[in-house]
Amino acid sequence: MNAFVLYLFLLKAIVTTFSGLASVPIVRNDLVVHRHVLTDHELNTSLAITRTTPGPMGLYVVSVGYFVDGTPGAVAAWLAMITPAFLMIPLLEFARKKVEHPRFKSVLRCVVFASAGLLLWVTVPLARDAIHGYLTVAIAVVAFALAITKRLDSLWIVLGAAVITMIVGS
Amino acid sequence: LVTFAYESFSENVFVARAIRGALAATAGLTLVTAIQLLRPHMNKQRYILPVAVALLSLLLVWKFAFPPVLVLGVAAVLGYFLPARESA
Repeated sequence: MNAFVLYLFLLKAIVTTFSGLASVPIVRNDLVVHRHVLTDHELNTSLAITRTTPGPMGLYVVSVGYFVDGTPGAVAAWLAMITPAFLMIPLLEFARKKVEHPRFKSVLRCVVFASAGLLLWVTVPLARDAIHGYLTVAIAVVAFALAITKRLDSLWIVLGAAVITMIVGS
Repeated sequence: LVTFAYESFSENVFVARAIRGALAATAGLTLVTAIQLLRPHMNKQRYILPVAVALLSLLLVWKFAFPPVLVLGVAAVLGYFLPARESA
């Protein structure tokens, strides 16, 4: 895929969801489902890499870019990630008063709720790709439980899971 | 660099095992992220709207094959027309 087209796809995903992991469903829909330039395995790997490295969660798009088009893809993805930050400065100047409007807040809130629903949807194929056998089922369940109850940093959960499967095997 | 390292070492048996565990944990954590997006907006009195919008989006994208961007657009329109106090 052309790096510029990739840039546009990723920019669309980031801008419409305000970045972070909320953009995963759009990235999957565009690059995995429709364009077939990325697999669920690669997308899940990008998320795993992001969770084990420092930086914002939205950085996963750089790994996605690398999987799609190598180094030019990674650069295109990085540019897609930083472009909204540049757009945001003049936009905030324009929308300073509007962001406090209850109706605007209501729109943002509903988009966040919808993003949660979309993330539920995208979890299914990612889990289908990653979970094979009792051990990986147990790891996914324990990771979920630890993150939801103990608020443990995802870095330790992912690293712990990696160490356990490395020792125990398949 | 990390992605390059992943690609380079993923053929190694031990690294491949580790990656399998990391991916399984990541799937579980993606589900947590969805819940964490809703959590700050929910309490005992107000939980219907966040859950309803999330489930409606899930239904639209899953059963009716709506593109995710369109689902977000529908949610934005819904948010625009909902009275502000109900969505607070």
